[in-house]
Amino acid sequence: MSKAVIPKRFLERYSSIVDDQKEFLEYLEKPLPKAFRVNTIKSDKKQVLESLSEKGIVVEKVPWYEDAFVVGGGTSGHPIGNTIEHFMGYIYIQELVSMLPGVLASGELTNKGLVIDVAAAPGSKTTHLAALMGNKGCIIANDISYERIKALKFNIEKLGVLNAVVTNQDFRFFKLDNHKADFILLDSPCTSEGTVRKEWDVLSEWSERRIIGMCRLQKQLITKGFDMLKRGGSMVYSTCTFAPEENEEVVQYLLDNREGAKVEKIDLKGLKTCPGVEKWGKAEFSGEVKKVCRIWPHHNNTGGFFLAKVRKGVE
Amino acid sequence: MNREQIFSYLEERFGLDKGLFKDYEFLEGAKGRVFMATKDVSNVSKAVKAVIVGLLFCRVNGSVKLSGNITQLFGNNATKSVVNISELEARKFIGGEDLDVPDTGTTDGYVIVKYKNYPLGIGLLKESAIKNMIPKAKRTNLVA
Repeated sequence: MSKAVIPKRFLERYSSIVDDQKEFLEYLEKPLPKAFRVNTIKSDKKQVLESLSEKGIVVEKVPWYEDAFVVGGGTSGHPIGNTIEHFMGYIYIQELVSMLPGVLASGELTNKGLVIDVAAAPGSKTTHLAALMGNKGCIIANDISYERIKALKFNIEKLGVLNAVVTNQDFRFFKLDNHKADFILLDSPCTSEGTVRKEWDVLSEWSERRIIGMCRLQKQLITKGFDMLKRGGSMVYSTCTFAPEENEEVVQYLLDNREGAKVEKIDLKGLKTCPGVEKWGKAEFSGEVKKVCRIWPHHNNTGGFFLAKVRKGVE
Repeated sequence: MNREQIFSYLEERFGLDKGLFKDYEFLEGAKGRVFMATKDVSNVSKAVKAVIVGLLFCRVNGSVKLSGNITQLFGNNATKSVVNISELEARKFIGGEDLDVPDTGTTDGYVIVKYKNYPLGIGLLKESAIKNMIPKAKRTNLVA
């Protein structure tokens, strides 16, 4: 396996917001643990775990989510993608932090609501939301890239999702009346800095210019998403990147531009998280923005992630 | 072939009760394809520019071919035209091979291929052989 490419400027950039620079770098260069989610649409968790155990695969529980497991105990090299459970779509190989939007959404989802997954491909989170909704109701699974929709389609089919309609639009101009959605997941396009443990060359073309461009798009997406929410509805905004321009700044932008937007506190028991940064360069963020949640790779041995939960006020 | 005829066939061939599908909508696609989705999805799909609605249910082309993914979802409810196979055969089938099955007791036509409690997919039984219909992208070489 090739070693992660970590530009010096990248490390310098985040030195003021990382608690332990040495550990941070150490974990960025380590491969990720192999994790999967049990697909409750098609399978019974107990049976799946028994069957994997019979094959000699050791799986470890994840303290903050009951359907997530890590392959461990000296069997982490096992190709779980080549098991009958994987073929049947009973398990889905998924990085742990990628399950967090679903975990945050779970209390918001019902079996008859309308959910929009703004940037859905390849479908890890769409299929997760579908399972959490008991395969009922409706998810609009949108993605701007027709090419990426092939992977989305494949995963929707394999995991047995009956409650999704796939659309292929630029979400900024998505045609559907406002105030319709009960829940929106905006797992946003981002510079993906936090995925370097999986995509070792993701930072090879890293530049601050890309961050700025991405931030502009994210601000448009978050306001459009918010406008499409019903009053009382909620949205999870997430990225797999560290840059505050793509995270806290985007949430602050929404608060500054949409009156009814409220940030909610995130409580993830069993996972070490950090609050949002208060200052970045010349920008100072409001106390509300501190309620967002940062996940650093070296705190829980995962990828890097950012989560914000926003609610649209009733009035 | 209309919807009722499709459900009658599934009942007759596999013992799949149409009540299993009562909470869903069925939508016609191109080339005889029929898609299955929740009623909410069906309603919303009329208001957006949909690319895919729900899951491929079956393909009607003279006969009815139930899709592999629907077979995996509902196949354990089938009482007829199910061919139970051994572990070795399951490895072959999941890997994409056809199977020789001398004595199934089932008439020729589509069958649900099952290993233990896993309805692996649909196959076409003809002259004591099951033609593999698992799409290439889904075929897997099982390890352990």
